[in-house]
Amino acid sequence: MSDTAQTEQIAPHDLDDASRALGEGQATGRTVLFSGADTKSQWGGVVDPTDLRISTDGLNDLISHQPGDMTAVVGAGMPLRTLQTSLAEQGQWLALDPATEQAGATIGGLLATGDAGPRRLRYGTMRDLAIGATIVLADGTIVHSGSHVIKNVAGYDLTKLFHGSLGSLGLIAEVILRLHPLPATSSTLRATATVSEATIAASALSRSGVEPTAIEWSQPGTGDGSGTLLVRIDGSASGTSAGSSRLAKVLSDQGLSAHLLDPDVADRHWATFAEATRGSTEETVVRAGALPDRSPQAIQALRTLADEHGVQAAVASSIALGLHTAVLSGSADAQMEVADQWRRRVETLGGSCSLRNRPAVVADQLSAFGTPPSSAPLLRAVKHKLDPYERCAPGRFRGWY
Amino acid sequence: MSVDTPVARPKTITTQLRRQFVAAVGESGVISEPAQLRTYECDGLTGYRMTPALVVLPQSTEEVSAAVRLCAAHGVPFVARGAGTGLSGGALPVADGIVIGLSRMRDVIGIDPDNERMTVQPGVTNSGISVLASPYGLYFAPDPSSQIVCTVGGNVAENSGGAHCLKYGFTSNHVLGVTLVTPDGSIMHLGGDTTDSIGPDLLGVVVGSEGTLGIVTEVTVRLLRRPESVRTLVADFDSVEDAGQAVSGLVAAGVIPAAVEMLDKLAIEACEQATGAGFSRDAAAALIVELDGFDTECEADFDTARRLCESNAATGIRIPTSTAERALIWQGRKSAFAAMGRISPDYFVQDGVIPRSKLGPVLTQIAQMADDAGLRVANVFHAGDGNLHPLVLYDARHVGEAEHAEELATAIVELCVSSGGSISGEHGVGADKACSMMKMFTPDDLAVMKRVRDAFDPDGICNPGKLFPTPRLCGELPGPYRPHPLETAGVIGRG
Ligand SMILES: Cc1cc2nc3c(=O)[nH]c(=O)nc-3n(C[C@H](O)[C@H](O)[C@H](O)COP(=O)(O)OP(=O)(O)OC[C@H]3O[C@@H](n4cnc5c(N)ncnc54)[C@H](O)[C@@H]3O)c2cc1C
Ligand SMILES: Cc1cc2nc3c(=O)[nH]c(=O)nc-3n(C[C@H](O)[C@H](O)[C@H](O)COP(=O)(O)OP(=O)(O)OC[C@H]3O[C@@H](n4cnc5c(N)ncnc54)[C@H](O)[C@@H]3O)c2cc1C
Repeated sequence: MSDTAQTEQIAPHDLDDASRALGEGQATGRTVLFSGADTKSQWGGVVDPTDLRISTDGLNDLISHQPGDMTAVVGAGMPLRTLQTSLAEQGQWLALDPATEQAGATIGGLLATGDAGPRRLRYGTMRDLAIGATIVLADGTIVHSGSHVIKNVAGYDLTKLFHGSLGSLGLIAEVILRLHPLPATSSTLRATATVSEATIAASALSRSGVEPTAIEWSQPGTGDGSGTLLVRIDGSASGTSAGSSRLAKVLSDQGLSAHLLDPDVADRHWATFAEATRGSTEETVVRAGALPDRSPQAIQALRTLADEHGVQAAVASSIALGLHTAVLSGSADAQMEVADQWRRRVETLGGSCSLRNRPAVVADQLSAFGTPPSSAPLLRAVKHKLDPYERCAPGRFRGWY
Repeated sequence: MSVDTPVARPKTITTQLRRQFVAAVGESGVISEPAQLRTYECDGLTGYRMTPALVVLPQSTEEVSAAVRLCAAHGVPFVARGAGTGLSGGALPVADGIVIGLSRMRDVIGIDPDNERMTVQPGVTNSGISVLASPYGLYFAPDPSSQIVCTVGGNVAENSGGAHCLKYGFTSNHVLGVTLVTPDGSIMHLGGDTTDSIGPDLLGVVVGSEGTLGIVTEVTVRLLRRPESVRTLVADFDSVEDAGQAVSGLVAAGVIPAAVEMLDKLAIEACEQATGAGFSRDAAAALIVELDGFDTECEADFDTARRLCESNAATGIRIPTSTAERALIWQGRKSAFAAMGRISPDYFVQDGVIPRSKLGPVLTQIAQMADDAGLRVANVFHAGDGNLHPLVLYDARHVGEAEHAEELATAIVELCVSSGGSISGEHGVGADKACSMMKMFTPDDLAVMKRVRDAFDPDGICNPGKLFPTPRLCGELPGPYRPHPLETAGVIGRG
């Protein structure tokens, strides 16, 4: 899409390199796309062809790891899975388990996209885990925000501003991360449930006194309405064992029969779950979010629309949080109809949707982000101050800013 | 540190403009009597005072918007004010400006226990939220020591937190959405119903922006379930270094306590005099360790914590046996600042953060600096996240001692920065530490924050003079003014 024959590709090796590369383009207004592992560069609004592509491949060091402080500083291009391997040597991890980890998702890309996985229920997203960042703006200015301590209220939290910015405000070059101890053990329960049952169960689980790390529900593209509920608890051996018994009891009180999975089987289930959110190049992936108790309405609306248009819609939901990823397959036109109408429906429920992977025809015809929020004028003003010539990811939030 | 208290000449507020404010918020919502205005001349940092030209007390988002529009139209600077408990002069009025007090905005807009959230106006107090949530077994996690009086609007502005931040995070982690009146009077919503909002996170920038980006008129907070089990212990040590080692031991063992607080000998002495909470006066340092969560897990972690304190040279461990005893320990800790009056006529409270692993060396260095200055420094702080609150004790009756103490307090916070930490962990920058921002951030860092501020407030009327170093507060900025090459080229500008 954005790679034309004219696109120059560079991979700066340090901050000064990155600053020079960006700053030099300011005078000539050269447009630029940042990329990490490039696993999802086409997600979100379609980016116009750019003159320059800056890869974070060369900014991939583990700059420091302070196990005693549970913090690390990493280059934005470091793949998450590489980072996890080094942190594990000290019994720590970045508490993030996105589906894209295996595909090589980078720390900068994860902050820029706001991506997270099932365990966000307990640990949050990069919004909670990134405590500082070094950013290079389009004019080459190098900016530091945050610091190496988790408790810090000095200055504006620019790191959060870049969370979800999708490369449109500047290059994330380094990130300071808050780490967690690796859990000693992890148990997973599995049950069969409809979306309504899963929604009620999620609420009961959260009232149980046990603190589950993840509660996820998924359903294949076709089926009889039931899906799979996976509940994970991390902690000490005694804690997870007692906790999972308690959670199983809560589920059975809800009329669901839960099974504790063997660790290998559990891993396979979680991998399948991650796989289900990806979609192929022929499919449209829609991410929706609404209040948790509106999940049954959101999913029911999707089912009805999918049936009407002869589309298969597989869903994976962070059911306790009201976040749903739907993968639509069928004719591109029908996918587009379903995505468009489902978005309207979710918006009337007070939620929002964005498009991820989708076939080119869908990308060309359907805006990725839906109705602009009331804060769009503010977003536009911020964009203008940080990137006045609209050089970074031009087109990405078109309609918003 | 005190700034002169000139009597403000409300030249900006003509009779006609005053009438317009009355039309916007009602007669009872406008204060212009000089004696009443003085109530608003400072916040918890009483060294800085400035009488505002006018105070308005709106009751709704629309009234706030109308008041702000008047300010925008007439170029009148305004400062939002919650309960005025801020300790960095954030709510200090601006000369010839108005104060917009949010104390009358205390409505609950909605409680949604099923989705574990609540929407309130900004004048609701921090603990008021938990009181409202408690029938549902829910509570609001951020717990500043001022929680009984401070407002949730003030918490959002300061990104407040308390003893339980280590495990539960700060206000920022618990605010899902706000309604914001921007400095031109527009009303907008940031964040909201969806867990993942799309696009750059403006909400995350507004939280902690100290009232410089607009006025928050509604706040939707995330509520948490009360933990099933809570276990607390107090461990005594012969040195602050040993206590620091015990904290590192906990971290290394992979235990994340709900809170870890440390008191040194002076702080213990003051607390005991004031509250008789049962801290051991023989100890050089005491740690309060609290664990909470699911009962089995909490019990396992509690055993680990106790073992680690013992193996890190604790000289005694006390485990409260009743809720009352546990509450008294916390009361002792939370009243530590106020208790200092028992052992010193005057004191400064400092607020700096260091990486936890540097606790031992930094505390030793602070003790050395205090000795050198001939002053006493008491330490009571959040050891788990490295948030220090050194209390610099002095006697204002001795000529020059206050200035001396203030210099020491500043040197300590700068030591925090050079140790890799921050100039503030919870009290904010406000008017108090604006100059220290230059110790922590480069001119470029500050210029970019300023660009963000300009996006929200191009005319600079929203709580001006706070957070950013200004010549008035800091003397002239060091070094000559050097325009950025792109500035010379007319590409970017500084406001
Ligand atoms: C709108 C959107 C929402 C997403 N949400 C989820 C989710 O909830 N769950 C999930 O599993 N996956 C999600 N993804 C996908 C996932 O975030 C990405 O696959 C992964 O994080 C990208 O990592 P990457 O290194 O491959 O980045 P890339 O695919 O190379 O880049 C992704 C985006 O980030 C920008 N970017 C990359 N690096 C930097 C940098 N250093 N500085 C500035 N910008 C940079 C790019 O310009 C691009 O916009 C989402 C993606 C998008 C676009
Ligand atoms: C004894 C004591 C103990 C304290 N302990 C702690 C602690 O443990 N942790 C901690 O973090 N803080 C603590 N503080 C500091 C203070 O209580 C907090 O910063 C609190 O959040 C301030 O709330 P407030 O309503 O009093 O705000 P104010 O003091 O009235 O205002 C503070 C700032 O917020 C802005 N503001 C207020 N309301 C709004 C609004 N609605 N919209 C936009 N801006 C607004 C003001 O302009 C100002 O800049 C303590 C203070 C005292 C006096």
